[in-house]
Amino acid sequence: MLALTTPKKYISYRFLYLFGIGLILLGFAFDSPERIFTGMIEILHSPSNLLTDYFALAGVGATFFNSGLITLISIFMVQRMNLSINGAICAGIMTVAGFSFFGKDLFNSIPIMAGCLLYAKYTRVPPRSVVLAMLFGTSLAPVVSFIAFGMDLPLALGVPLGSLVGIMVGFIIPPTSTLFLSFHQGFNLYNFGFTAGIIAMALVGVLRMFGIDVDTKKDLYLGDDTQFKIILILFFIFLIVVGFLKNGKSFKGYGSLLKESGRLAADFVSQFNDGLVFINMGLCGFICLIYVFVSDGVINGPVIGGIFTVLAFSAFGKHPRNIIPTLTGIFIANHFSIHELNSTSAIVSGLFGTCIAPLAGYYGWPFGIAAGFIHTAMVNNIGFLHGGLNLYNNGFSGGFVAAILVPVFDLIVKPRQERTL
Amino acid sequence: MYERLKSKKLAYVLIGYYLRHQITDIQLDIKMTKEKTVISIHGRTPEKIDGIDELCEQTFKTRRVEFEDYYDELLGVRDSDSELEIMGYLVDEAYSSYQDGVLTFTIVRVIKD
Repeated sequence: MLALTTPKKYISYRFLYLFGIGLILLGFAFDSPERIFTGMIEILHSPSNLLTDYFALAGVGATFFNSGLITLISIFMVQRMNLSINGAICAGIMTVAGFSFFGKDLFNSIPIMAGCLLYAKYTRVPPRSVVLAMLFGTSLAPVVSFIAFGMDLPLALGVPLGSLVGIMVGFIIPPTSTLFLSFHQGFNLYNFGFTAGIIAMALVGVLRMFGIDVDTKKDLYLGDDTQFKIILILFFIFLIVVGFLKNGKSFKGYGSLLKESGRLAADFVSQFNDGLVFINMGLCGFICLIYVFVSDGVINGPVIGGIFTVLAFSAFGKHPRNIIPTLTGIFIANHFSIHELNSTSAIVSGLFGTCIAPLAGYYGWPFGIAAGFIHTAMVNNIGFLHGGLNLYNNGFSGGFVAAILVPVFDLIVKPRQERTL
Repeated sequence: MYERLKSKKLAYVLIGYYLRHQITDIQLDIKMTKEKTVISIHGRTPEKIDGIDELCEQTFKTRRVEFEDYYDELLGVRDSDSELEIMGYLVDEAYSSYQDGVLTFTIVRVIKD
């Protein structure tokens, strides 16, 4: 009889707290406290729908401060629930950090989190059961901000109405997100993005039905990005060195991690160890940077958000073997299409488009390239449906892409079902 | 109701696992008490499923109550051993044995508040 007991492997809270504090310190390195304060006011008052780059809106310092603040609050919330940090939770926290560069702030995130908690109370499940919905569900944060500040309503009406809608949205995210997992069979890593897209599509439909315009916009920082490049390169080197040391001063086991398809719920932290996950984060970060360099893009808020999200999911499904084919497919599509290769939209569609990386991991690199190509077509055509109120637009697209391609890829890979025992 | 639903999904995954590996002479036992649910599957096979021990070690690492109501939706949607990793979120203990040509696989799910 073989007893199945294995050691538990988690990412330490200390690492995540350091990450959050580091973001806040960077904020103060870029701007004065006064400028950060005024910038934070601008962020909190912004409708925040896609693509609102907080670098352009409120300044670099306030953006880093905003990201650090929300990251620290998220970590504290998870710690209060007494949860250990596995791949999924790590991905959730770092994704929150990333999207706090272009869409999430305290005002628009709290009502959605409160709605999730209300759902837990209503269904009599422990709050920790909805922790992923609380972290990822803030994808719909612009819904709160748009109603509060983007519809020309008096603040006394807009703020409570936006908050109320946010709570209602948060309430329905946990049950709907579960349902949609089977739609794409776990091949879209941003399942909450797909869920949020469906909810936002319905919500925007109602708003438009009553004559309220909801449109995507492009408010972007396109200035000098040298400092951001240096910071990111140093951060990735730090991750690889720390991971190397934690993994017994070796890369042992990384080959096994690369063999994973990455399909949900591939928790690299539990399956391997935190050292290998840090190495994976650093390497994936460098691949993202190379993608931005090759595309001749500018590193701004959304691009940093995209890179942080790839790092986040490097603990939960992404690795070089499955993201490179996807990025290649997206690059080819952007290069030969009407889209500008170096535009922020094209860059972020590449970075966030790696949400369908498990298709490459599961079926092989040619399928990953094909998936990336189709994703580019889909993601540029789907933002209108939710008017930019769903921050995880690529997750929304990725759900459809995976749902369409998985049966097709299955037909190619195994054309005949086995008819014998 | 809640535990019965979870047991149904877990049993479905185990049956799929055995059938996928060409084990056809299958028996399934489900024992539910107030403290725990024990599900055992037995099947006659000339040899153990290749890699079953390693698979068990890699997949049944830890119960994660906070995820079991979310990721259990993926149980059974693919005809693939990868869903056994997800099953790890729902089970506390797992055992496998092979004796006299019968492969037995047992999972234990402790009832928690």
